Amino acid sequence: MKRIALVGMPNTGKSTLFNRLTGGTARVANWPGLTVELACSRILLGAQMVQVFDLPGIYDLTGGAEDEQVAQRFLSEASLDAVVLVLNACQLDRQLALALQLKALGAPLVICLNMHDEAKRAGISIDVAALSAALDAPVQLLSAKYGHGLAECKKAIEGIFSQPAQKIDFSHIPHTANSANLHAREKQLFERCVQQAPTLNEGATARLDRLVLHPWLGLPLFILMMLALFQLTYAIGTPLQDLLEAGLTWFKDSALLPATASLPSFWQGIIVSGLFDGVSTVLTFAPIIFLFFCLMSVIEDSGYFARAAFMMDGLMSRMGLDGRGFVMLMMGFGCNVPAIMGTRVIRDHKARLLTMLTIPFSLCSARLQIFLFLSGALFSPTHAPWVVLSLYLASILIAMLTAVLFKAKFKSNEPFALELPPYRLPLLTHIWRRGWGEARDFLRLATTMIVLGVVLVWLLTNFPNPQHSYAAIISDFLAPVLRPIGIESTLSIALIFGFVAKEVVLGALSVITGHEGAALATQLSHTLDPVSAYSFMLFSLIYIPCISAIAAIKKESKSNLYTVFSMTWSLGLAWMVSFVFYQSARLLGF
Amino acid sequence: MNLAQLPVGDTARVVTLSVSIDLAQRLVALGLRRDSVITVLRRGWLGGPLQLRVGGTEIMLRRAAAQQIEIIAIDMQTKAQTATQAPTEMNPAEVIP
Repeated sequence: MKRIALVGMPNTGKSTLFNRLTGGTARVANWPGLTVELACSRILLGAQMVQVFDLPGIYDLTGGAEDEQVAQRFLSEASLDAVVLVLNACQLDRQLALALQLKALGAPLVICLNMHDEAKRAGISIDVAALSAALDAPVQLLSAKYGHGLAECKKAIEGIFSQPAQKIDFSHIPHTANSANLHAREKQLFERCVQQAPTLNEGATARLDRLVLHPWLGLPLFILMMLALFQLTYAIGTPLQDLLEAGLTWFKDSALLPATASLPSFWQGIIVSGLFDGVSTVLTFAPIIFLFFCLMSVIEDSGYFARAAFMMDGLMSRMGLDGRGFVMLMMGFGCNVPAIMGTRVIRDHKARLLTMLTIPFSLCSARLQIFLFLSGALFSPTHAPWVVLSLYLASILIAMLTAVLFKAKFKSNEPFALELPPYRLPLLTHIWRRGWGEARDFLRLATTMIVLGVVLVWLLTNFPNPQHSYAAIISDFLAPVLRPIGIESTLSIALIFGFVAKEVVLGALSVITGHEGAALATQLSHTLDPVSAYSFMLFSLIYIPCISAIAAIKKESKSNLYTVFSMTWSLGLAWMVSFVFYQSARLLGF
Repeated sequence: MNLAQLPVGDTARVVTLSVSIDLAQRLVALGLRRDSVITVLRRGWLGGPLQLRVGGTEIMLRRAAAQQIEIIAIDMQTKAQTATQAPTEMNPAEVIP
């Protein structure tokens, strides 16, 4: 089987070409020795089966960044029948060097000048024949987004299969930062083969930037965009979730319960309340993750994401984060799980870990439900909104404090210079593919852990029997630790439930107390006072978000140690903050 | 003069890049090299990054890094010439926020 790889700088539409070539049938593949999974697919090209690899976007063949090393390693170890280099036709002034470099290394090169449509609009004309002659490789104009030139690209790739496959030897490559010679040749080649209007016709992007990055309007606009993102996610997602839940409940009542009725109650419990409820928990996350990433894809592909990062970078760089981290933190206010997954835009591993450490403190919509209920039950209507607002502020402060405390430990090595791509209309198929892909990956990688967690909590709260369960024993055991922060045993059992999902905390409270809704509120107002209630809310805000978030952290960090560290830090900090609050409030006589 | 001092809307030629090797390499790949012509489009608030245009690419660069890039401002006369060549809409002076 033939093997080819797609190579190119970030923002050249490489993945769009990959999806065009493969029809979106990508599988992730592990290459021996690489820490990163590569998208890979098999396609039929002419009469041959061809294995296509999509390498991470690289700026430089000699670069030290993680992605660049992955690409180098792959190129030097895999025998390739063709290296398809994707260049942005609007940016040939700086991208031709990559072609010269690869050619000098003897790669079996096919060059695709992508975004040809944009280049044409910008008044750029390219002498393809001269470029092809100078680089001694087939060169093809392409618009991967619209599929123009795709057939010709495939032909060009087939055309060089007559050459033997080869590995690329990187041992003699000069460092690009010092190779004035390479850039002199690049400039010469560019001037010879590319004609350009005196200035690029970028009017629309410049005009939009004037509004989007306006010193005073930019920020409100950003907040508005974030709000719209949440609102859309939940406006569409909640009905979907409800529908899914209704379907699952129907299945449970009409099929699962009758089918397991003859089993001993232990097995029925573990299957219905453990396994099935666990799977339901995972599944109900799927619509939110799907929608969130569809919208995220719109924000990223349109070019807005880079602008948001630009606006927030001044503030965030002081805390060791960057503008992209802030956007993700904001997303966390909707749901932590996709926000943690979304940190993937930060390519530097350590910078990503630092951002992931802060996101679990974002007050997500599930926690908001608890806070709205408790503040409504225990505070006067005039005070309740301020209580919720103060929790939002606490959430932001704690996230930032965490970043500041750990910024030395997770110091980013990423050279920070981000491209601000022109505004583009996102493509529907790409949006769909992104949402679907992320939801599928989440289900694939997080299901086991979430189901195990739910089963464990079920066992803890039902054995030996629901009245005197292990959870009650644990909460008695923890009483000396939780009493100083004002959390009584009923509430600590609720915290154990909260480990599964914050959505079930209120439900657990009504099961434990035997009251629901307004009755639960009255009951709580008899057993709790505002100080201990606020302490409970602070603790709920800061301690572990939920099993799904932990699964996401583990999936993204690929490290058990980091996951445990993140959980320990959250738990420890939750206790400390609640302790300081509770004890000082009591000392002050509240 | 360094790049952080260049007023918004002005254009300059890069003389030296005294940033770390990794950043230099990234900047070179993004088109910001010795002798390249660069325009400051905007400065972020709260000491935020600069928005720059180099050739066909727009990039954001933090001010600390920009301070390590030595430049020569391209004088008004040359700029006037480029401005007359360009369509009026693209006059860099217009991009000031």
